[in-house]
Amino acid sequence: MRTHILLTIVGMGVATYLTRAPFLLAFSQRGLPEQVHRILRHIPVALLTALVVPMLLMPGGELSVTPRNPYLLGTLLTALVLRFTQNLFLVVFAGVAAVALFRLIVAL
Amino acid sequence: MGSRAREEFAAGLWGSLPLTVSVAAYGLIWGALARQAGLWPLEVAAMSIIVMAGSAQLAAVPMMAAGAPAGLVILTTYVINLRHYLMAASLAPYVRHLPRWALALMAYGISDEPYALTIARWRRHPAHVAYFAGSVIGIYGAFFSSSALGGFLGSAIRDLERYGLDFAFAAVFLALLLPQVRDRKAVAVAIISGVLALIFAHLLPGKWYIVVAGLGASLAGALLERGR
Repeated sequence: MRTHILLTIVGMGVATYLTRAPFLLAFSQRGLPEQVHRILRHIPVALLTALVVPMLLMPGGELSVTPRNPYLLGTLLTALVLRFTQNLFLVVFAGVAAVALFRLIVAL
Repeated sequence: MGSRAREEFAAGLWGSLPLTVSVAAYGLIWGALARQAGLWPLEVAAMSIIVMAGSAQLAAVPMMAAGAPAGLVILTTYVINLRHYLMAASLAPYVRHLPRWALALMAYGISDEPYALTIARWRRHPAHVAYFAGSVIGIYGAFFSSSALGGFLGSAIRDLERYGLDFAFAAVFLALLLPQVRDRKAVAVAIISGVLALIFAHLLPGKWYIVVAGLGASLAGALLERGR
């Protein structure tokens, strides 16, 4: 292993750890003000939405809200299957299969 | 390890399985790209085990290949991973009872997929850190082994899209998110976050939009609560 590469990698590791550890340690203290809890409660929905919405509506980096975007069909099917089961395997399989099938048909 | 811990660990591992195929596919591709960019196989494996943050690693490889200074690569890594701050803050209240050393160890496991799986679980079931550990072992195990393999093979699998595997991440995030959007406040937070994410994905470089939308919508949610 080359030293300068290893040093860069270790630096990246330290930088990443610095994004992970401080708030886990700080916000697990007792006696946080209620305002902080009010914000923390909403992070799961806010963060997961922020992750997933651009994934779905901007595949390839450009906004695409047309039927040609296979992810829209995948989203519909995923949401539909989710009404019947919370089994992640089934939900993911349905979404992935819908997207694959859609691409196959469009390619024909 | 008690029987509850063992059960929760198994549940976390099991929960991560629907994602492992996609994670492994991305790991394989990233490993191969890193190798083609000039990293040695051992360096590819070392980066995965030490950094363990897919999107930052994806950004770092071409920078390193282009001879970017180490400081810039490290700074870029830090900025891309800023969203971890929000994940850590939101997990923290569930693990108050843990000793500091355990929290310091747990921190290493915080990233998109284990966070999404764990927070969805902990909001419904009594929180147990073993669930998080199981999901981290599942996801990191898949990413590390596949990226190391990709690094040794050096030739990329193409056509990931043909199998719809790229959608698996979105499907899992959706499946974990939607059941949490139960009341009006949550709907409002989701809408605000989605709109902010789309706007700032256009305006800001890299992954900043996740930080801005995640934090902005959480603050908005807190304000909505105070309003009633």
